[in-house]
Amino acid sequence: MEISYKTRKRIAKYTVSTGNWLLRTILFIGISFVILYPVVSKILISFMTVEDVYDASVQYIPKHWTFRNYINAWDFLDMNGLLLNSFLYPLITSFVQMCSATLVAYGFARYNFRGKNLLFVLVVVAMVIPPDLTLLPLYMGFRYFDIGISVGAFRFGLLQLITGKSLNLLNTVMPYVLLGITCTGLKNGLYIFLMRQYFRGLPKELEEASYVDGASTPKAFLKVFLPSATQIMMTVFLFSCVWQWLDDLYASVFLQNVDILATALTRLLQNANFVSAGISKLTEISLLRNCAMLFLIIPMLVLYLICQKYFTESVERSGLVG
Amino acid sequence: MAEAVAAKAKPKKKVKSWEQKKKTIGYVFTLPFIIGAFFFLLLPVITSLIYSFSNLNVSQSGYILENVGFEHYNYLFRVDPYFIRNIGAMLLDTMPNVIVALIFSFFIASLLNQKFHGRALVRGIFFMPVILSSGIYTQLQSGDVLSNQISSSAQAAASGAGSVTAAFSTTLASMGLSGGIAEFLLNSVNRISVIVSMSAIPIIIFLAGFQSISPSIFEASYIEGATKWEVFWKISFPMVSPQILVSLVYIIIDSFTTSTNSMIQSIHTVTFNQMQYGRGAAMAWIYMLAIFIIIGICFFIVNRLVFYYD
Repeated sequence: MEISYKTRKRIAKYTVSTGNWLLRTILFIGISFVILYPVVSKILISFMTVEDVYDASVQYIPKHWTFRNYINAWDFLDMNGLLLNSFLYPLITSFVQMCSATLVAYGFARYNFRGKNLLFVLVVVAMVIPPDLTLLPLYMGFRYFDIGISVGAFRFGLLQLITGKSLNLLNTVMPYVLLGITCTGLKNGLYIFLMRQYFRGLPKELEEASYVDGASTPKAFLKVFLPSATQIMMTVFLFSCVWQWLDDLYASVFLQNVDILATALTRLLQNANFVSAGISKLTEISLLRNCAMLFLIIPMLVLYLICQKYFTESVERSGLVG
Repeated sequence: MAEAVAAKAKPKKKVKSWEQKKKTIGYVFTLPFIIGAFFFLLLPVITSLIYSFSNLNVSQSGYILENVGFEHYNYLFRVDPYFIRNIGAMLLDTMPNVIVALIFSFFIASLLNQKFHGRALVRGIFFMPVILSSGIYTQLQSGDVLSNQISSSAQAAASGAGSVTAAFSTTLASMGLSGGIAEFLLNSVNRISVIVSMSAIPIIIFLAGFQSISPSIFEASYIEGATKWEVFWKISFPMVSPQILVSLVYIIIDSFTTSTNSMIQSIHTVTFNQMQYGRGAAMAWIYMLAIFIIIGICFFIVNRLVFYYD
């Protein structure tokens, strides 16, 4: 039997597309498994009792469901006391970071001025330097905060001149706000970078049209560019929120006397801290730590699910590109 | 004469041109970062350089700097047997991951760029490592017994409890690949969870790159009779090559400056736990210069291969 050229071509096309679909599906399922498995099993383990952990017949689904671990972890971390601060600090910080990163990125993307390239190199430098390099000078700067310059032994400050002493901004939200406003906070270079990329993609005609229609520069920014940038702003807000929430490096330096979740969790790194609290069994420690980690990621997962739509779509350009 | 007087009396009012105005506005928009770059970036960097040449003693009223010259650098390079070796070992450990993560994120992004059912869900899952791979979470993860058990069994499950890996390695060997390459590939498969978590942001960068290619170029090439394969390698690939550079730099920065990185941890311990501020600053400086050199080399190599559209 002869198969016509047309049929053969169709079969070939069908095979290729099915093969493509199959490969893609297998790859995606496999990688999704690698990502989701630790989270799902962590959630399942959090409902287990100590016996279930030792029971060889219990693999994933616990036999004795219990909320005991959650209650224990909640009490151990003293969550009631630190919940408010834990939410407040990241939310304030990421809001400030988002706003100022939008402004700066807009300036980088839409205007040409002298020294722009050098300034952008500084953005990259801000991304590259290990936080530990600037953390200590920043710590000193905020411990003895002053409006002025202090390099090594040379110090000049307005507050020192007027009131005779410097301010101690540690254990307040001010270090975060100051770093956020000036776009030098945690991973702030990346936010400028992402938003600059977005603003650069918007067509020039948009700007020109708004000027022809009589808009001033601030008006053009507020009424034309800002509304179209909502999605990328949400993305930056989400990133910033997640990283601030999980950050223990800055928090361990700036907030030594304020308890937030990230710094409270650093106590869980050493088993000795549990033993002094009267929990000595390794399994119990592990179960408790497991639940504490869930406290850490569940709010972020919820936030992520809410913002997910903005987030995955913001990657795509708005429909303006011809 | 009268005209000249009139011209003198009424000097031409200096009107700023549109371009000049735009320049000023550019400075206004970037002003926050200009201030920040000076006060919270350059000054601290210079200060830490000064710290690295001195001993710093904290007292009630403030801090006292005592100049010790190159002592800390001398110690780190000549006396401390571990520091330089640790940097080298860490770099050799991390660079293969960086390269694999770069290739991985490029291909995943090109797959995620296609249209298929459930794309939003898959994208959602693929970006989740942004949450799961930073800060205190990873530290707790690596220190915990149960978590280690979970991840090791996930690894085992992912690589088919060794049997698939073994089959894979014999296949590679029979294909005539040298042992080194086969081992490198197998290790990459075993480190898949690390690589996946490194790839989340680069995937976003690549996706943005793919999205920014004008559809008219694709239309033109399809009309000219190009196949999908040709379109991918001759259009998509060159057009996103600037993003390759960006992603490479990002992955290097990210993997060398996360808080779980062994060098970052030792710098942090020396600075904030042992209170040796000067030595910590010196370590951070040496480490930063090492990162800069690596980024510089990568930038130099890759930048020559990058295609810029305009």
